[in-house]
Amino acid sequence: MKSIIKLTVSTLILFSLLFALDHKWGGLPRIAPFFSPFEGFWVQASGSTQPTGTLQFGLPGLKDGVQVTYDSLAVPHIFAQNDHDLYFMQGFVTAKDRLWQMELQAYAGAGRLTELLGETMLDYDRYQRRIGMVYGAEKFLAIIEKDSVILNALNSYTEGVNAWIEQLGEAQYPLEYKLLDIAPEPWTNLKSCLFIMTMTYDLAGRSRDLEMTNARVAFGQEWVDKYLVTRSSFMHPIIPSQKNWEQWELKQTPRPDSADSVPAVVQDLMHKQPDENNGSNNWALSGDKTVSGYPMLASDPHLNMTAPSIWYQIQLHSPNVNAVGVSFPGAPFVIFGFNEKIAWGETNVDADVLDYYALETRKAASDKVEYFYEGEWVEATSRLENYKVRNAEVITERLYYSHHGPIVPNNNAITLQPSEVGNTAMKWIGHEPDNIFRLFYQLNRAANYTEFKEALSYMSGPAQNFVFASNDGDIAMYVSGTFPNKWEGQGRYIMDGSKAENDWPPRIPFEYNPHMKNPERGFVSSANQRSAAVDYPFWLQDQQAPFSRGKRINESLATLDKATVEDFRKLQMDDFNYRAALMLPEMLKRTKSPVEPALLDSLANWDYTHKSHKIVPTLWQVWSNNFHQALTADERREYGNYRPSLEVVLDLMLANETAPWFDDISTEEIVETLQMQLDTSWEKTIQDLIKRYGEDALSWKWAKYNEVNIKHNAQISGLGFEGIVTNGSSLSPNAIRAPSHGPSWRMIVEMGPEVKGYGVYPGGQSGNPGSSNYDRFLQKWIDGELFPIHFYRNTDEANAQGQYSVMMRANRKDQLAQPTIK
Amino acid sequence: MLKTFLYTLVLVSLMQIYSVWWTLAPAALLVSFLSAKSEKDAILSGFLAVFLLWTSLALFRDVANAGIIATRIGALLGVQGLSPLLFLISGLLGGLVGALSSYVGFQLKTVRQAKTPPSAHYEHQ
Repeated sequence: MKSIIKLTVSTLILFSLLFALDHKWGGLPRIAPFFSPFEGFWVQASGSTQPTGTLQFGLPGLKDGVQVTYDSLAVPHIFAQNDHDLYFMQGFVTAKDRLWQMELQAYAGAGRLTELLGETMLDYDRYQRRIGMVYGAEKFLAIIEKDSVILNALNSYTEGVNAWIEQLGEAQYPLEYKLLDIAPEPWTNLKSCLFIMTMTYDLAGRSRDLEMTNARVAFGQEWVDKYLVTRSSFMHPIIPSQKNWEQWELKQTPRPDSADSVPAVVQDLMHKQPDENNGSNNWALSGDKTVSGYPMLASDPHLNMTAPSIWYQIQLHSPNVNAVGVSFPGAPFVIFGFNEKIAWGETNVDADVLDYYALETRKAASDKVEYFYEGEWVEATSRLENYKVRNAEVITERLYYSHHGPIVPNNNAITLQPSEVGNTAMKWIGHEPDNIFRLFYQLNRAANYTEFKEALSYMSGPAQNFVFASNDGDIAMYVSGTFPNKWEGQGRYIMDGSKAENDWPPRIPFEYNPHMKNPERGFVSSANQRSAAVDYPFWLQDQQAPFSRGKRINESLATLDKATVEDFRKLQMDDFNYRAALMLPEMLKRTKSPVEPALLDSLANWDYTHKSHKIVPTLWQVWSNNFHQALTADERREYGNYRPSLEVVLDLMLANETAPWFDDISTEEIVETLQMQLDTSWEKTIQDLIKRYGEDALSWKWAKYNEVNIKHNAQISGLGFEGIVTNGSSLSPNAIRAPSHGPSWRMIVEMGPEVKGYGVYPGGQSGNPGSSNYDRFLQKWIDGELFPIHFYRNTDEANAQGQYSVMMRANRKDQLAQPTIK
Repeated sequence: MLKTFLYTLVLVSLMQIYSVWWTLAPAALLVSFLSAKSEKDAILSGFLAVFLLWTSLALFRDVANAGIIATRIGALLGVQGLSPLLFLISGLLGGLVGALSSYVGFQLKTVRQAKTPPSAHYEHQ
């Protein structure tokens, strides 16, 4: 009897233990499989030494043999005998290193994160669906499906990703799959298209329509024109004035009568603004000014930085292409890079290509909605959206589309109820794609300026400033993308969606996009600032990036002679703040604050560089923020985040002018002057810093204020790169801004008979946190140094200089792949 | 003692290489049922076999990896200080399941022996 009790009790305990250790409790991983060295995180412990020599590997799906040589930085160099195998292998090796990242991007892009992470992601997912991410991706895919060359490349990439997934045993799933207890989903062409949609929103998803509309109601047209639409006098436009602009026959669309007919203050429109610092630098210098006599090019895209990086370095070689650089995990082709003839890089344009239209809508039947357009009720199309929430019921809602684009539902809160149809429609370039994959397919193969330009004509959104340099000695800058030929300021405010005259006009022809080739000044450059000089005949946007980076870069480039890679590297790492250089003296001149005179003196002696060990940059940053806030906080309640910029304040200060909004309207008896605002904001600065960092001014170092934490892409703690100390600021060419924004890739290319490239990104080739290649490049990036970009012209060079090679045999379908590479 | 330990080690290793983690439980249970001589024999053999197996493989991977993944997982779980000892935690976890499974196997045998005539029992051996 006693033994039966023992058996019963111990059996119960055993089963409970097995269940408890196998079950996923809340946010924890399944304990036992996670800790098992046979299947858990220990499997991610990849060897700390690089393999050498040659490995053999059979792979079904290939048409021919392929050589993949990994260099000392774990960068793959693919040598294929046809383009199918080339893009197949790109998909395969990218998935091998970055599968989780691709997975996460695909779920996030489609608004499916609730499937992985549960109801907490519903708000995020709903936003993705409401702005029509899948709708846009499907339109993009439909374009590709009519282009057999690009479709074949994309199909091959997808096959390659899936070939990796198919041979992957559960124990080999990347760490994040084990943490979340999920399995890889097959890759699809649509997922690659969705990634482009995500980038399009990040780079071309800004809209100030709501704030501008409200500001106009609150303060009037004149006020808005004077303080919000104005341009800094220090702006160096990307494309200076061009002689032939005057001769163009096509003119700007005239402004219709109903242009400004939406006076209402709109409050319940939620628009998620992408980071305003999503920008970049790029430039090219003519061979006349370089030591080699060949042009040189630099490019560094500034994005939110994550671990693993958004970039994956790769070389793609087949009989008709040899390109190297960085790619997007999730899409074929090289995105920033060079081939044997040309080099290229991109910065963002940020034109006004997202507009909202006010729309009168009505429910016509239980699932039918109509909207009023040109005197008639037009039926809206609709899509049924299902949210398959993990461990919960499926939520369904029907979203409606006008001819403008998605009708934004009124209800934005997290709710399990389907939302009501709203009264605003979104018009966005992301829903009018062109063939951006053809652009990169052709760019990878382009040999000269003509072919470069032809490739760029396939750009719709996100519009980019493409910089170019070639072995022919040409340098160029082309503002590429689809820009509707808007009347001056069309879409600055929410428009009346019931009138056809407010619809977007046809695009500005590509030939009329701002561009220049081999300018006399010997360089081209862009830093997201205004695309073209004021006399450019078309309107693209009111306010692009501040002048600071662009002015600094242009002035530095103008002084270069016999330039070297080192000169370019120094300019990429330049931490000079031009706004501070012009504005701080004006601030110091006016303030009479008696508080902390020694610190005010240190500001007066500052060289305007953002060095991590100095406290002066912190003083400037907090003071200028507080000053800006003091001037605009009261009015800001009315017009949201879009307020007169510090550049406007700077111009007013230099002209010794005053503005009505300098006064704080909440204090009725006093009319605040600039001096009063400067004094109080300076005193607040000292208080803020003491509160935040303590009394000791030595702990106010810029490194503290601007501490960079590159987080894991799913925000999993322990898997990111924390507490990074670097120089730089968002207004310096080295645009590093806390908490995690900055040069996500730095590249310098020296043209010549043997093109030489240098690059670095914060991270490493492997997406596996257990690999030494996860953060391999990080220290170099922090130190502001670059690695050589290995570029092999053929397999002989690869064999001689590479670390190890994998020879892929084209297996018959019925033979199993042998997963011998790790 | 040694016999139960060795058989457990061999069978559990095979199950772990070819199947999921919890198959170690039926494996340890079966060996203990067939070969354990006492409660102590069962518990010790079950514990040590799985503990050694999981610890040694975890340690091997940890060393080859220069501690990279252990450091990250330690940080992830908020126990950075324990990172160098994570392999032991794995081992103890496996060992616990091994010991309990063996114990159940032995109890099953005891109950069965009590119900079964000795002759029948010996036929099974």
